[in-house]
Amino acid sequence: MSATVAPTLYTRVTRSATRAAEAAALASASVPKTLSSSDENETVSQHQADTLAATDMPQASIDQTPNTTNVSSLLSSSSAPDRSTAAAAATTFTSPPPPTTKPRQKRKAKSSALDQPGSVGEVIAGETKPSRKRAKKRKDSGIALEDDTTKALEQQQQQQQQETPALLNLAPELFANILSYLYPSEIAKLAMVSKQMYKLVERQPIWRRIMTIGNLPEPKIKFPTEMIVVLAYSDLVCEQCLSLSEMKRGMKYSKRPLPMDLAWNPYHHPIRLCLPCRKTYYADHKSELGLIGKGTQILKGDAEYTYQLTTDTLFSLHHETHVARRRFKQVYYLFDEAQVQRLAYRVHGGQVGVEASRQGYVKPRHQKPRPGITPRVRKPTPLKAPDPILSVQDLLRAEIRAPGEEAGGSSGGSTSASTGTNINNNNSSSSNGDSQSGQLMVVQIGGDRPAEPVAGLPLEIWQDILSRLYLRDLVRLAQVSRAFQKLVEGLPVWKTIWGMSSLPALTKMAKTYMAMVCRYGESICEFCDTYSYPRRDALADCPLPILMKEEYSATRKVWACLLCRCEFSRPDGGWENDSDSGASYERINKREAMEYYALPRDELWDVESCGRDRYSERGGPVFYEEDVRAHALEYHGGNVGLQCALSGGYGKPRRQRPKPHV
Amino acid sequence: MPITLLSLDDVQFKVDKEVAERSILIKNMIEDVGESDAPIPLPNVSSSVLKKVIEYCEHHRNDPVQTQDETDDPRKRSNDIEEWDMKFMMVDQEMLFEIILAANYLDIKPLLDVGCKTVANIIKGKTPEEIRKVFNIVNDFTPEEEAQIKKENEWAEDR
Repeated sequence: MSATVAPTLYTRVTRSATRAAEAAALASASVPKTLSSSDENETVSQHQADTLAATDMPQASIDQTPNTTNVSSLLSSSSAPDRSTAAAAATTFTSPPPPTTKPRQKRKAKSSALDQPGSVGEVIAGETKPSRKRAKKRKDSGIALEDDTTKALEQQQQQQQQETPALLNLAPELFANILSYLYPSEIAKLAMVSKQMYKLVERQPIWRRIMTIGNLPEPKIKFPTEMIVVLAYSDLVCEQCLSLSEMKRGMKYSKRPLPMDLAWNPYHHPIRLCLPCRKTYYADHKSELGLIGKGTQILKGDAEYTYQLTTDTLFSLHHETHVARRRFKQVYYLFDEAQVQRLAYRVHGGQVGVEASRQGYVKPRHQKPRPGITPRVRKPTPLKAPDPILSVQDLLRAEIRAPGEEAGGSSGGSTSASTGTNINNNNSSSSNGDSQSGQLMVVQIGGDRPAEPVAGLPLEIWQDILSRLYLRDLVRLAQVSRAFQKLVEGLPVWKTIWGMSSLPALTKMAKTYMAMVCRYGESICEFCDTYSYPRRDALADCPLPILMKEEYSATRKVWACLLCRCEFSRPDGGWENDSDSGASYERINKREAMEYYALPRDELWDVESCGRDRYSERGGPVFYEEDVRAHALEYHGGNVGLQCALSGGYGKPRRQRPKPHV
Repeated sequence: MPITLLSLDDVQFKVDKEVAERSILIKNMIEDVGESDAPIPLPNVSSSVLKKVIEYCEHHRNDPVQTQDETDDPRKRSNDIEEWDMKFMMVDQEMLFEIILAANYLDIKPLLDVGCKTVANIIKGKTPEEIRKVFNIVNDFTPEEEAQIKKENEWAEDR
């Protein structure tokens, strides 16, 4: 009970309270002098007295005023917290203070302080009460001078009356009534105001109630009071329903109470609400959700990650199924982002829930996430970060404004700065951006020509243009200038490729989807945008350059994967570049076929043989070379593939198949 | 019945309704306002550009409305420009961009497509240095940055 066993938590809480109390004491005119002179040599005895008084606290409250001391001076003398005396002090609020005028009170206090040195002996001689109470009383400088004990008590009461603020003078019921309008965290905050307040708050029944509801352990040595026990569990207690959310290993963080700014609590004090409470809250306050509009589509992997939904949950929504055009017929699913968001907010209880859920699962005990290190979050989350396209727009705008026009420069800058993390913010800035680009167009047409073509066209048109380019063209374009780099980086195509090819999550080295795709660029087909897995024995399986004839650049190479090569190269059944094949209707045996056309043994089973080898003992099959060649072209994907295979393969893809990110 | 279009610099163009309605913007405008003799002001389009656009619309006046077959990868179809369109787009870059902007403003989807394809074809298969030259772009990377980017994107170099 005494101050010596007070736990660290407790002292931390009350330290500020002590300071506040001291400040209050100093503010009133009478107390400072008593403090300076008497308290230092009496700390020990007073401490004793406190511990003793604590034992018969009820008695103190029964006989009311005589024994109670000047709380503020007492508290300020000992830095360690002392609950019992304050509790006793708190009981005095019930007794009505006698009416006295303030000036007189002050004068008396002053005079008493002056005569301090002589006071000790007198009090001891005059007192008939037990020594512990005497020790307490001695500190009350006001009493020391008085011969008459009753007078002293009166004055003491007055002094106390003078120091206690009106709030503390309220009847306990009223005070409790006030507190009933506060959330537990707010009440706990109130406890930090002053020691007196701490005592009052501590005795509130709400703590016991929370303990009962949550079945919390009883107060023990380390957590000596109900309030402290509850505070130790504060991150698991919902402040709305006072229930305890039990967190087990493996549960998502969204299941626990999360701090939220409530609509009816406009004091910027976040309140922890448990999942059910969050749901009901958002059911009543739909506008707080910050839902995005319809229209955008999102890949399944992104939806799962960004909105922390499981696959099963996601598939309850309407979705479009697309099959990648070539290759392995990879299936990818497109969801309406607005729907996904709505679902996610229902499941996790709003954006806070989704964000908390992204922090992963509850760790085993004693292994809380270290402070300062935020869990790895994939970069472009449409909720948090500003849309990459948007930022490009801002950037473009900034670039346009920078050289020539000063007029809109400031506004452009401000928009780019204000692209906040908030969804609403984001929305507003996006609309802002649109309008700005509209203006921009007008300006560009009417006014002077811009220095750069990037500035000349609105973003949508650039996206339209860029969507017609092959990947390598895009990458090269990105090297042209900063504005182009941003523009290209912001294209959605990178993310799509990343998702479809299951490339690894973004790292420090490859911060953008584009960078990540570029890492695996060699293995990505420019036609179907998919990653090529090399088959065994199929050296020409990776994307290889094929020639394309175009109007603007005479012939150019485009890197196409095996299936794309097959499809592209023979629209009418023949392979391009077939003139110097040298194939004829000569017959070749199996070994030759394998060697000249880089075919594995099994593949030759598909080629029709034209007889037996007369020159070998075993008499293996012989084939028409033309047939073998046709098959080899099919197998390797055209001449380029065949050449590649014959030369020992283009080489393995630079990297191994990446681990999928989901 | 001819419709009068008024360009940015107050030049009036008289075109057939059918031709004007290639532009969805003007089409909607006519539907909303009803037919009248008052010229339609197009404050975003200068006369030279508008002339070009009208030329395009005149040529394509009988085209069927483009069906939305956008599901296919647009990347493959970028080089199939009609011959007339290609010649039509043989203009200097300023004009090209202004035509694209005007097509965007007037909402003429086929013209916009052709413009975009043309620009895409200009970019295709060029090195960064060539692209800079073509578009008159200042290289604003620092040498270190450029080296870094080049290293990251080296797979795009081997052509």
